[in-house]
Amino acid sequence: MTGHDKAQPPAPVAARRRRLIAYALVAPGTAYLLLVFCSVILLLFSYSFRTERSSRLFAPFSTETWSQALGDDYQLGVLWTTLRVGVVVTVLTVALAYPVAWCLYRVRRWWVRGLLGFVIFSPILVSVVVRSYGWMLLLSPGGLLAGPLDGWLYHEPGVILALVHVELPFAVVPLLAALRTLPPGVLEAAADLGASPARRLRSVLLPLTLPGIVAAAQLVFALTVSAFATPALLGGGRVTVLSQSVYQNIQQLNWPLAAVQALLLLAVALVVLSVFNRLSRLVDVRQRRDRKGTIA
Amino acid sequence: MTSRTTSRLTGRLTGRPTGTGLGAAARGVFLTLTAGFVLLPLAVVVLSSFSADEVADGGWPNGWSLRWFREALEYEPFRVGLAYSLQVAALATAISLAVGAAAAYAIARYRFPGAALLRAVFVMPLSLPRVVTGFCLFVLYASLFPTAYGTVGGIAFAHCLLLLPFVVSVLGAALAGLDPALEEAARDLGASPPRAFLRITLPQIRPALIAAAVFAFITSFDEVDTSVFLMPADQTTLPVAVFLRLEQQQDPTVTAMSSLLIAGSLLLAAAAALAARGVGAALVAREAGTGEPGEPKETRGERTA
Amino acid sequence: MSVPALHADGVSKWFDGRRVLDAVDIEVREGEFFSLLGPSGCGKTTALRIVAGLDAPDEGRVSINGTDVTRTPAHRRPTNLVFQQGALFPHLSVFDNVAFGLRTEKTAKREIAGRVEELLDVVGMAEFAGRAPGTLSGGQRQRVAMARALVRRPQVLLLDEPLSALDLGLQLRMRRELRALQRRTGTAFVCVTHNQAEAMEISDRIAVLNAGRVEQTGTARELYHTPASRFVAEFIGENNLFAGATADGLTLPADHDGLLAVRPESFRLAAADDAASVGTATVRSAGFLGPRLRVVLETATGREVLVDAEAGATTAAVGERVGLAVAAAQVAVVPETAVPEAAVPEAGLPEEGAVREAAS
Repeated sequence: MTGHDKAQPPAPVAARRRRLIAYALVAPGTAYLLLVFCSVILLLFSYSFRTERSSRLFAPFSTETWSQALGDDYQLGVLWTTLRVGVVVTVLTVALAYPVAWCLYRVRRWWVRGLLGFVIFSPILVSVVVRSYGWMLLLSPGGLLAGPLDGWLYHEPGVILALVHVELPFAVVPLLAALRTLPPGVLEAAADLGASPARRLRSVLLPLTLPGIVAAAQLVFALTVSAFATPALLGGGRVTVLSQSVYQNIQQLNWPLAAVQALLLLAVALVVLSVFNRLSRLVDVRQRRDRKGTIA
Repeated sequence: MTSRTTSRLTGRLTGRPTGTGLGAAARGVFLTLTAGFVLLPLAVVVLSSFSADEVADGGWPNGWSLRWFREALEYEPFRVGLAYSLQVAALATAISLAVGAAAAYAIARYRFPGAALLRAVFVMPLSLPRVVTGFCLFVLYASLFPTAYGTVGGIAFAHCLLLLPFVVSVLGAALAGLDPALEEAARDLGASPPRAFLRITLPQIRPALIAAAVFAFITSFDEVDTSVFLMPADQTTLPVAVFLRLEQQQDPTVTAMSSLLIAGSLLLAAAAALAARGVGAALVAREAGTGEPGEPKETRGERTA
Repeated sequence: MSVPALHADGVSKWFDGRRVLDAVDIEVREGEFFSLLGPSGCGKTTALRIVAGLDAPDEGRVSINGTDVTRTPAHRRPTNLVFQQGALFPHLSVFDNVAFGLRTEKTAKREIAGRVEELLDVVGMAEFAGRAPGTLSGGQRQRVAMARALVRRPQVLLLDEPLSALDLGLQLRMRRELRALQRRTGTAFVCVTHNQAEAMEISDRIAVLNAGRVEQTGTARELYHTPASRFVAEFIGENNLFAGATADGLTLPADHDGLLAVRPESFRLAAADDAASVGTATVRSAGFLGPRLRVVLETATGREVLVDAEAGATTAAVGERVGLAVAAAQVAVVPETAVPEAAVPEAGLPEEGAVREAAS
């Protein structure tokens, strides 16, 4: 019975050495991220609770900037615009991306699929500034779309249009991924059982791809509320969102207000992230329960 | 009924649903329209850049000329910005690849407490709005590291935050798809762990490495939202220079520069695709070139005991 | 006694607080074909990986030809491993795969070419030198993997389920090839397998592993005829196990009142009233297996008994009552051992026999 009664291993030298190597490999990246995260949090809070613009690390504590930012109608309007643009762009982008993903999924010739995929995803590789500029040209008074879309430039519709264009590829990716996980034959099975196309969409396709829809909406919303260059260029100073306001305040040397708005922006991003995470977990749980139900 | 069921079943066996002619046509029209929507702003930029007009108003050109390209390349902020952007992108790509590859390798191949947490930490910067990052690093540089403000190093340092999540996830996925037994086999055959990595693992993740490097380079090169906080307005990277000029006015010089940026991005992407394909194609050619087709590809076996 | 080619001495290993190897002792003699046999999850692959240096033991030592290599990393050990699926490098040709191990030790170019070609010749893969692994069949890949491991002239060659990925016909042929290869090289082979027929056919000696412990080490014959534990008796071939000499309505010719084992082919069917029979039973089914008839019987107590009878001489009608006869020499005494404590989750199986020779 020698050794049999010991339930725990002795000091595992080799395992510890492997662990040390692993820690050494992740150390630079982790140290970098921790440094940035920590300074982000500390600086944001430190600057948002002061009134003076100074590069000193410590300054008298004050909540004045906060009350200014949250009490002022203009500042609240910026927050409201940011959220409104975010919601509208998300809804429009996902609504457009879903049929795009579906059609891409159904294309059978590989080279057509490759070509169309490249066309739809290629804008990701092109600078956002250039893409926004393209819309400025199209919407400007002499531009190709100036007739039908008169007055969109430097107004919210123009910002929204350009943002939908910028975020479209990011919405197609998760939707396409969700479609590819469809169990083979479910749609044929539904059709075989007499379901009309509309009913197949409503009771088979949409429920099964719901995780992809949630993921696409999350990504688009997060990218839209923090978008900077597109609203700055297409809004032309008349449509102001949070990220622009942060930049303007820096230029006007109002660092504390910029910090408050950066924190608001961060809060919006994190709240949205957690809401969507909760949502996708909910979808996940419901699907798993349903699946279990079918088996039983 | 039976024959219908059978045909459904065979349809199911072919995997993808088969479409009717009418539906396929409708889908084709829709995809073409979408492609048009996607390409339209880029096309109008390219078109306008060949215009001879004195103003860029987005309308059909009244004449053709290449002079705006020359002016764009002679415009001082763009020339300085191009060199600046190239340096920043090269440095940021190199750092994020080295740091990210080490982290991805450790997370994929070693079991250690906190590995799952680290995986989450490395994608966390994605949920940090770029403007927030820019503001914080601006304040950080201004209050603690004034020398980093407006330098290649300072901006590359900031860009790493945007590139790391991408590099780690792409390389992590590539490493996860590799059979760990290959590297063990190399060590068993006398290769030291670093040599086993260089000789066996690295060649197999080369396409992913190339993809990660190109995407990181393009992302860093095109970055505006963070960078705009980190440099003085009179000396900026190229996209920031374009942005700042566009805030003031639209002029044909910017149009020409934008065209060059589109061309550059697409060329780099195409070159990368070819390079990644080239590696793959070389392998395929060598496998397919000689003799009879083999049995199905090696299946990745789990250890049974 | 000469120095063993491989000696694993009290090797233990934990994974996540679970003991997967429990004081494993293995001695492999020089030039021997040795198999580690056990069901999946018994720890045999872990044992092999520890010998190769790919995993480190938490307790115990490993020595090769008398040299302690417990702390030697894999790339400095005089062992080589044939991986389960071959683990051929997909981006290197067959030649470069085999040459890989020689290039790591800075062998002269001309010598590399000579040795690689020689080994490819030995495994019959010489004409495939320029091919990519992806174009080879499973059996060809396995041959290349063996050449790649053998080209470094290891003192011990380790094989991890080398044939399990192959279809049955190829497995049978490769068994003979493997055995011939071992004879030809004279190297000690240690082969991990879950296939008892494979282990019995090719090995000089076998260690049976169960739940991280060595249940018994011996030749195939020893394992078959004198199992040292209930696990070995049940795992190697088929057996009828009885709790004692008088059990299940039978009275077996044994003066030992512990666990007894009778092979199906050791029973003889007799008339129900035959004086030599040890009891009677009812025929439940009879299946023709070629040389043999597999008869399933049920005793008065409802116990199932397997009997393999000579097909030509026997008739057994379902429902018929027959007598069972067995010679005293054919009744194996299986050492009863205490059920181990819950150190291993899959407990409930007997512990390694402390009285290994008790049966003789």
